[in-house]
Amino acid sequence: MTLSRRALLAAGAGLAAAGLTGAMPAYGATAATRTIPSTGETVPAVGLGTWITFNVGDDAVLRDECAAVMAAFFAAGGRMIDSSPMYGSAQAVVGHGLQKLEPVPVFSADKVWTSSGEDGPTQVERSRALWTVPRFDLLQVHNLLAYEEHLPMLLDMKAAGQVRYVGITTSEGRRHQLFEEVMRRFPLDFIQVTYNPLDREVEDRILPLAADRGIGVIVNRPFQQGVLTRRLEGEPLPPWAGEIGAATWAQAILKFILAHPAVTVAIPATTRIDHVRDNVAAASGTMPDGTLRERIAAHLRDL
Amino acid sequence: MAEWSTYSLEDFILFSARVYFRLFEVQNAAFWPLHIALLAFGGALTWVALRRPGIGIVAGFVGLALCWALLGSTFLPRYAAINWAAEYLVPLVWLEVAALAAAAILAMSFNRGFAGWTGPAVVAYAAFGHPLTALVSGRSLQAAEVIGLAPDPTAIATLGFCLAIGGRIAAVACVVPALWCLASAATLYGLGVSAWWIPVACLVVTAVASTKAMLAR
Repeated sequence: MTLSRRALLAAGAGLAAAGLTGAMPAYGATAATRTIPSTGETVPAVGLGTWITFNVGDDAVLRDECAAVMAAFFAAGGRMIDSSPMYGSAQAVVGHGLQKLEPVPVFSADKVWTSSGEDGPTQVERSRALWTVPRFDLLQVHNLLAYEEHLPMLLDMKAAGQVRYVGITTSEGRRHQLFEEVMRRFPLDFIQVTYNPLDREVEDRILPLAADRGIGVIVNRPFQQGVLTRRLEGEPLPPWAGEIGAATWAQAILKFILAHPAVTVAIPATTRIDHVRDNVAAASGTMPDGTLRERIAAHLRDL
Repeated sequence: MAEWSTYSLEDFILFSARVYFRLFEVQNAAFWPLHIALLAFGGALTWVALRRPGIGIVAGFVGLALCWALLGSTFLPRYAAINWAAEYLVPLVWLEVAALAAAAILAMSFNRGFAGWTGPAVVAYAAFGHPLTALVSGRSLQAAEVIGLAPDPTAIATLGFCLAIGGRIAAVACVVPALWCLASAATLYGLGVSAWWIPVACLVVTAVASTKAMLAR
């Protein structure tokens, strides 16, 4: 998914005219990227989650705030936005942003979330219409719900060129044993799991298995749904943060996550423009080595 | 370990406190200046709960039925946009409208005269005290929760009025408001709102007063 220079400049001009960007640069800023193992395509290492933050209903003011967050995300070089039919109005709010900012270089990642295999295609089509994209880049089976029915359907869609990548998701360490089984049985491009300095269960088996099978890894809830960053408010950054160029706790946590070699993209959710910029910037510069990663985890554990 | 044990209440809340309270702000903006009439209705409802005049009881139940109808047709669709579970509340709200309409029809047979302070006090709190919780929790009055436009004060006022009037049909009309108070408290708790206990406290006060009235008969 690339955009021409002319399209990017036009997008920037459109945004400025819409009063959305202020001094924001046109899309196309370079962000640190990772390689998707199954194709070799590169994707910026920090994406944008929409759980809770983008579920703002029909509120025009809040929808425009979300669009401004998306504009800042794209301007910083971000591309992957992740949502789900489970997230209330989040898909429609992403669609609103995409319409407002069009054209943008979005990497659209969504999910199938229905217990009925029969309803899967209808739900995917409804989600696509809400996003207002011609097709999804990635479709995942949300929390393995009815994966036996949905995964063959998604793989057929991929073969027909209706979606580019297929994956599965879980969160908070749920159903990891089954998750591993599905990773071994199906030709997946991506898995999505919870991973951060305090939730490290996936390091034991899931991340090594993903690396072994050439599956990309998307990390959700990097800040434990905001709990971790709220706990760290007012807590001074230790001197080691300077060694990796982390100006905030959020950046230190993201660098911890992205330093794992199996991780492809982390998708923190936020409602704030300054945070989205900080998050994308965290993928650049020095990453912590193994020793420093352990120090980060120990520091957070001991707080 | 059972998978359900890994979930907490917060995992079922799909939206933030800010977005939830913005619902009331948007709802209030859409219906201003209906608030003046609704506050007047709240005052009248308190007086009826205190004095229990026959025609006033009928009007009170009709007015509450209209408030629930207004909630079902305007607030719930707004709420359903951020909480898909709200769609399942729509039939319950219309059941409540039917129960209150039935209570209005049967109202003329109810007892008259003073029946205690608790019911009128709960109604007065719903009408005039509950909107002010917006200020206590750091929100502006633009996001105040008003009878007929927001579910919590409507549910609390219905509980108070039914307590004051008494009778079996009034007890039936308390079921949906009681369920709403519990659901609202759980939602507010999950959102981390410190005032989550208010709907539960109103429910407990009403239940205790109702039980005492039954035992006294």
